[in-house]
Amino acid sequence: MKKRTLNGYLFFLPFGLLYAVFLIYPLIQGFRMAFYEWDLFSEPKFIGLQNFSTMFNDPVFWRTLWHTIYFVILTVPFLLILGFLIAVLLNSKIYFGRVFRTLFFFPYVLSITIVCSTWGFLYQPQFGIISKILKAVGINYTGWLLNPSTAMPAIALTTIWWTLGFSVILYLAGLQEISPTIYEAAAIDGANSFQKTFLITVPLLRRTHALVLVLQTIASLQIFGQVYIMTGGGPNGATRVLIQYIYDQGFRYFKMGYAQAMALFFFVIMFAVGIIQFRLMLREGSDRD
Amino acid sequence: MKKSKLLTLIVFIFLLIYIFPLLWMIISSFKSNLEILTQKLFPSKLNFENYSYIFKQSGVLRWFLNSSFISLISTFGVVVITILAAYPLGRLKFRGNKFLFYLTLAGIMIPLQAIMIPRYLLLRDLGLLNKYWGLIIPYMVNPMNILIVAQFFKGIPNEFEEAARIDGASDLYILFRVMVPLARPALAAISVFSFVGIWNDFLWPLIVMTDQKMYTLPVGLATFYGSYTMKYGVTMAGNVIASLPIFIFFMIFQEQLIKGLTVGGLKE
Repeated sequence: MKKRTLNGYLFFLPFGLLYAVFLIYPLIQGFRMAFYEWDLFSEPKFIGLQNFSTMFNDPVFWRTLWHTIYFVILTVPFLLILGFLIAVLLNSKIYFGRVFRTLFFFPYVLSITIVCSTWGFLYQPQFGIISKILKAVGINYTGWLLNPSTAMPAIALTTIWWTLGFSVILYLAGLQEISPTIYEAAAIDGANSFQKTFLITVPLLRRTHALVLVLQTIASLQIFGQVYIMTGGGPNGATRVLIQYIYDQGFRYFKMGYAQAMALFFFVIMFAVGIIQFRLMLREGSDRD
Repeated sequence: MKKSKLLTLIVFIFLLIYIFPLLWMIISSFKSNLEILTQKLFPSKLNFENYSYIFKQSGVLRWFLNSSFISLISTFGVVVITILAAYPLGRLKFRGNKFLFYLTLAGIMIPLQAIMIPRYLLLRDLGLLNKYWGLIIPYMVNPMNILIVAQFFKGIPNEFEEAARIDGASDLYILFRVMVPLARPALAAISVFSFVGIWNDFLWPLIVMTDQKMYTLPVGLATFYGSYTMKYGVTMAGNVIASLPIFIFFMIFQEQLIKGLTVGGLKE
């Protein structure tokens, strides 16, 4: 019995050590750093809650936070609705279903650099294809990434294109768990396929909706790379997001304490969303047992 | 029920629109600069100038090798560490088992962005900046994988283990000779999923690697494109080169990848 306990800890040890050093330790350090003023070169100076009061009075902080939330609002609903619709289509009686699924899923595994530079080319004002197509149908607009009002929606569209496959895969998995007998019974009662989809499938996939919602929200809150590559936060700061502001304050201006105070704020937001994810996962586990 | 031709056509048209950016990327990579500036739909001939340019002017080959090395070693490390840690969580009954489980579960709540600055400083103090290990070691810490594999271990019927125990097998033997072979689908899923996640990661290599020789493919290309904004043909050629390995990998392992996504329901 004793030996079993020892073995248990020994097996866990390699992970436990790395976990302590590379997750727990930085987390604790992060909590401390937020109370210091530190530029990396001189001695850290304890300043109490000053970083936090600076943060709450910093209009740029609020702006970047809003841009982050705005990005979530622009992406998540579409990732839910389009993901669901495409999954239903792929799951219906069509030819080449598997080939189609593969192609819908593929963009998701491309790296952020490939996706964003390709879309940057599509959006290009003078010789990008999007402006050209729109011109052909009579819309003369070229300022996608250059205009503050369309830059964030343009980045959102790119992101939806990139990660939609993930929603589709989660929905397909959910759809496969629905027993076909439910649809057969509905067919006998005279339900058409529209009714079947929206009165049976939508409510039965409640848990999948919640999962997609939470996971895509978590992913969208972390937005950084798309902005970094496509606009650099411009035009005029219109797409600057929270992680980017933290990154700039920390790694460009070496305001380590201030950057870390904002990082803690971000941690609190993620923690709140994470609790929901937590409960979903635990519930899923108990269903399977 | 018969398959619908009409529905197939609708999906097909939608799909064409959906993958158009990728088709456009491939077509444009063969265009000369003039053909791009004049918005020609197709290149007049297959033109490999952009490809030779990117191989000569950027470190694309070096970045590709960096990415391959880092992703392969990290994935191997993740799998070994995951197997070892998931075993006590999923199979062994001992004091503290529950505690370790909740400790691991808490780990998925810590977003990297929240600790990127202290972790950067830690790596700096350890002398791991601009080193392969500065990426590889942190990548090996993935609590989510452990929860997935522990759950899978838990589902393996007791008979397999008992038969081996009667023969006097040790825990280590049972883990690697009984559990691991049975858990192969779950392990394949987490390996493929980890590999793709590490290969595509952007933020962490951007922070750790500042020497351009040490860049990974996504960071290297992003930096290179940033300094050549008007050469879109070259950019598209670079994108095709960078997509190709991941496309082949995807074609071989897509089933495992999908399983990894749906089992964990996770995303980086």
